[in-house]
Amino acid sequence: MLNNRIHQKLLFLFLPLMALGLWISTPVPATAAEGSVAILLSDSEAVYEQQASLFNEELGLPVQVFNLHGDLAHDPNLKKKLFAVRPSLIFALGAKAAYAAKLWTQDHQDIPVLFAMVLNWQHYKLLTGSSNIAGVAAEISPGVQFVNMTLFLPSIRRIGLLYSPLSETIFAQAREAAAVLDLDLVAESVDRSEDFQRAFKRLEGRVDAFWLLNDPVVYTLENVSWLEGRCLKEKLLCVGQTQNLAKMGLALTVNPDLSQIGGQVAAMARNILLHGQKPGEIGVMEPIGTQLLVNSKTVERIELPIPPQVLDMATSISR
Amino acid sequence: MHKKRVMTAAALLCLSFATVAMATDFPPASTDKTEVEAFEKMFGQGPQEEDVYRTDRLLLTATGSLKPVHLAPSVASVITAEDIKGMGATTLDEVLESVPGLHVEPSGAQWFSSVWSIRGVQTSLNSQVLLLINGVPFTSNYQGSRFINYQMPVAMISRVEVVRGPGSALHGADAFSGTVNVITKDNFEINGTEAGARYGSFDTSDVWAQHGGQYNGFDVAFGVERRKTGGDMDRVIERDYLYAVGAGALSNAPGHMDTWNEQLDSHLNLRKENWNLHLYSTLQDSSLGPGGFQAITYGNDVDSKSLLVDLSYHNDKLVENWELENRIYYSYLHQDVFIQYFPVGFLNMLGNPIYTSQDGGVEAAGVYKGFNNHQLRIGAGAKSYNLGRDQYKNFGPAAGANQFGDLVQVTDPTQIYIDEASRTLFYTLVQDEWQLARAWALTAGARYDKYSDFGSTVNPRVALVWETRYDLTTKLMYGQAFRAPSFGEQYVKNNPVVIGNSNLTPEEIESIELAFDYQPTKDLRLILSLFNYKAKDLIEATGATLPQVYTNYGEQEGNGFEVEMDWRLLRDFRLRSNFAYQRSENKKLDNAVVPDAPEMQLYLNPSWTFLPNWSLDGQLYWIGDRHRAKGDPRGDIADYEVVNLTLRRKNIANHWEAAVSVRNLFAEDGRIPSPYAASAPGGAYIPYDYPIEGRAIWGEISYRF
Repeated sequence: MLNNRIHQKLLFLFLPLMALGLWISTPVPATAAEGSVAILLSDSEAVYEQQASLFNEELGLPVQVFNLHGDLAHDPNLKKKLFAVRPSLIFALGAKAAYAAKLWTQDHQDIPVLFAMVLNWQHYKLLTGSSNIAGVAAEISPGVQFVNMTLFLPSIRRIGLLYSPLSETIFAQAREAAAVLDLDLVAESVDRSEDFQRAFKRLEGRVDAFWLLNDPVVYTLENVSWLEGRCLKEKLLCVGQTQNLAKMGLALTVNPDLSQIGGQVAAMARNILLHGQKPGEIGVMEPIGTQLLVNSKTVERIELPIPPQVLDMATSISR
Repeated sequence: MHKKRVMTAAALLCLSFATVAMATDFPPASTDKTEVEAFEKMFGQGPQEEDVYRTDRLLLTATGSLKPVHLAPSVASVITAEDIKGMGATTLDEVLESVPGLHVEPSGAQWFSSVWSIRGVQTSLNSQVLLLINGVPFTSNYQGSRFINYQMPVAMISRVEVVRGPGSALHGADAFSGTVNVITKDNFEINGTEAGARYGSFDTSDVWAQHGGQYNGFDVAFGVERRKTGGDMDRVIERDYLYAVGAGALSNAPGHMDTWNEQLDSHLNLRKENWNLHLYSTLQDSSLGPGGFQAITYGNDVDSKSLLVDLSYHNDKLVENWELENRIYYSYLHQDVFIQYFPVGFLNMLGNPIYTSQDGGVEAAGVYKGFNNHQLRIGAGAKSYNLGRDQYKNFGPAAGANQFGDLVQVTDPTQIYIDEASRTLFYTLVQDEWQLARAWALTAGARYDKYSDFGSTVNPRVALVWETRYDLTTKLMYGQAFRAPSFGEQYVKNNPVVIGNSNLTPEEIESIELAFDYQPTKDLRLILSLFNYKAKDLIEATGATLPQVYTNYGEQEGNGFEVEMDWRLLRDFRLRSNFAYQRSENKKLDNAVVPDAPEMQLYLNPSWTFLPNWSLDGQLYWIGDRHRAKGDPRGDIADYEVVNLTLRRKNIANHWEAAVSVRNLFAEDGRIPSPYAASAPGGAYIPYDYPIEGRAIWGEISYRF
């Protein structure tokens, strides 16, 4: 009898926990409020939610949060709901949110749009034909990344990369930066994710480091996992642009300091809302903080001769 | 009064709806068609940006190529070395207990060999789950499953992949109810030298050392682990076989079960360029739990030696668009079992069956990536199975006049317990992973197996994976599998407990699964898997009296579901849990519920990193609703729950790590079902079942050089 009661309790404990999990994951619908700042998320992704929260803390003005859930067709009334709060500004997080905000404000150029966490933002032509849009890039510029890479490993002269049509703009910038820094950029083009491994092999012996672009054709979980093993095998420095890549095993990432992006956008928003600055005057800013994340275990495995002072400068993880 | 409150509430509700309706009636209009089209044009094709932020574990066992678990065309779990440390598991059995829908239980009929019961498919030999070590089958052809009392310590395990459901389309025979693939550590993972020791209750000790490095261009990984336990002496059996035959006074019962065991496992991995050599050897010694005749004795000994070697060659550069994989492997298993059937005062009946299982195979596979949106895998292979045997005994015609005296070698082939046996297998397989559309992938494959003694069989598998939304994946899967009877099931003879049946036909299963993998936030993942299967010709030893006979007794149908949750509630607190339900019935036995397999299982695993480098892990297992075999007069087997706690401190002075763990914290008196015996009074020779292991505590320390 006692056992049965315990079992029932266990079941009753488990099921509400599941329900609580579901409930927490369900976004709270926005309520109407005049003149709020609207935050539009591409999806329920932690990196977006973190930035939304930082922005909210720094801004000090009322905000309403809306979620695109990855698709414009997910909630056809989302646009209506968002405009119902008479947004004084829209802060879009992620490429889909930024693109949706651009579409929705084509006829409302008086509503400023700021974006962040848009990988390869140039690909989406967000500024073309819109004077109300500004933002913060999700990547450190290629030049700054190359400088950090050569600081990390001074012997680097040849940097390999794979790019798809989605990342042609960043590739062009990288080529210019490499020329300025007197580095050789060895690039291969890929059209499909499946071609990544084959294209990577063509770089073998021709590069001192490999630079992984935040290009969704190139960057898939399968490719990253394969790359991690390959870089170890070839004792090659592989460099990414988002924090989780170092956690997944790449030796180094040069990424924006995510703890500062939300605050940076909040400062831009205050300038627009309180001081009348025009988004067109701001354009797309570099992230103000750069972070070097080093996977010390990988560095040790590939036997990289990293100067200790450089390791002191970086944030180190070991896993 | 109550009515008034309800009406007021209703009025307020209407008012609030009206207010919301008024508020949302503000222009501009909803998203228009042009906007949707422009959005679709930008994002409707190709990979999604959020993929860059997403992480998932990768699974090899489902398709032969690494795939994120949420996209893999199967229902699967991946347990990493870090998870294993966290849960305080010291053997593979303890690792597997955390898998949804899988329950690990010693088999009373098979001398306490572990049964990995998946979704209600549970037989005493447990041949329906295929164990792979680095992708190579590790199976005794005498048993048709792991060898008797096989245990695997965990220090060299990198990860364990468990695929529930049929896998014969890729792996062939035995991947029937599930496949367990143990991937061992390579030199990169070990990366240096580590040594550790563990000591705890029941005189349990464990020492291990491992090293990984590069020498003369070779990647080398080596690990050795010695584990032994004296067994819990408080697992007392009240009554046994001797009571059933009226000789209780001569019985060792009440007395403890003999559950000591020892293992010495060694792993070696050598890798150079495209070549990869794995070597796994094990020396094991163990007792027989409740004994060979369900009579408590203390002189039993299973002496086991095994070796598994595989050499593979992988080349993805040789031919454009092709990834070539070739492998040659050999497995050797030798078991020398000394059985004292009864206490000497009752009858000095001794048996010493010995067998050697040797399998060797070669396989070649190629993955073609030249087609747009297709990844085509083709493969072929051949395998040879050979069984050798020897025997000593002191009873029956083979012992002549020396009945119940000294052991005598059985030289007369008509008197030995099994004949030498062999078979060959040829197979070929094809599998296509087809990206039908951006969010749709279809994996379809089939394998053709031709046995020298059973003829041929074709087993298909089809899985449709739909990325319904960025955070939701839906999978629909269909598969068939089979299992050829083992040599033991076919040919055992002159045995007092069980005899084989040469007329056995292969077991077959057909299953359909539907799964939803939902990850609404980075910190929460929910998986729901629904399944239905029909198995026929399941093989089990049956019969009211001893010796029993292996028969195709079962036509089993089952269905159920598994729910999994992985939730990081706080930065330092994570809760993993699962609940599994299954109901399986034997259609040949008037829809009798399949005995012993739990209908419900609950697992809770909170994990708290309460200080940097400190972690506290809890585990709760609840095993519920286990039924008796049809005709067994005993009531249903009582439910039980076990709680384990593990405290771990990492990174002490940069080199040391220490842990302490309490298993079965509340000393739960759970029971493992003893086999039904119609002729025994009370329904079984050991009527009160076998107790689970009691409370145990161990401490561990390791050092990384």
